[in-house]
Amino acid sequence: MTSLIAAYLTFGIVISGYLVFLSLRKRGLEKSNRTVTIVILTIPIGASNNLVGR
Amino acid sequence: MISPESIGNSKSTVRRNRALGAATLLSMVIALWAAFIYAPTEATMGDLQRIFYIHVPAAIVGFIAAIVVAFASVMFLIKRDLKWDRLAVSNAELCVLFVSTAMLMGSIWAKPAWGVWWVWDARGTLEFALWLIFVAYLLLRHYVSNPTKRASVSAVFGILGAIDVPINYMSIEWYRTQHPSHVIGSGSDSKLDPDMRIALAICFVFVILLYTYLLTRRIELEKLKSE
Repeated sequence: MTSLIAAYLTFGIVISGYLVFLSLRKRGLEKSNRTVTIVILTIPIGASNNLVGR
Repeated sequence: MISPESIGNSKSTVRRNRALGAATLLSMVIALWAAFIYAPTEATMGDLQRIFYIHVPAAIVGFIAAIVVAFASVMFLIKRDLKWDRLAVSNAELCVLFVSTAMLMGSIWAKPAWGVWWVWDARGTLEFALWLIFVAYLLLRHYVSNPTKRASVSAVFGILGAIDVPINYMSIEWYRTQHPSHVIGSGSDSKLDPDMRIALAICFVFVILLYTYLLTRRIELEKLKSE
């Protein structure tokens, strides 16, 4: 009985672990994409500020 | 099968993913009932044999994922469209996942049944080889930075790697192994009790739904990476 429970628990832990891993990777990618967007938006804003400053 | 372009981040996709997740969760509850309560206790091994109901579907889904890698790789080499590469890499990762669970569950079953955690017989060795091939496939992708070149190299590797599947499947018939031979046959050929066959079918539906759910989430991630 112990082996039976251990086997099913192992399956559950591996699958849940993979789901957490997927969520973390997705969150990481969304954050990095957001950073890229911010950088892309900041460049023209910074450039226009410089122009206005002149 | 899920087509790689059908997965996006729209509201309908989110709703569909949630419905698929809910169906997977519901099927998991039914599968646990089938494996632990509905299925009769096996005469020789007793309750230990109930590992079978997830061990076998997990191994079969591992094979399916490897075959989908080969199919998507062939499609990529023909069409040169990166959506097929996304489908291939997602399946390669799921192949590693499901083969890992099948091997771990098999090992936990082997210890009380055979007295050892692992046997290097044809099935065990070929299953481990399949796992290694797709781990290598995933590692290989990190060494090629150009997306098209990476997809081409991976496609060739994926097609060659999937050759393990038919040999692995037939190994328990071709070689004398510690692993039992196929117990699922059609009609009177089946060595399984009818109730055990029903329980196995229910568990198989659950594992297929789980694979589909994980695959949609994994392809979503791959699309996000390419954006």
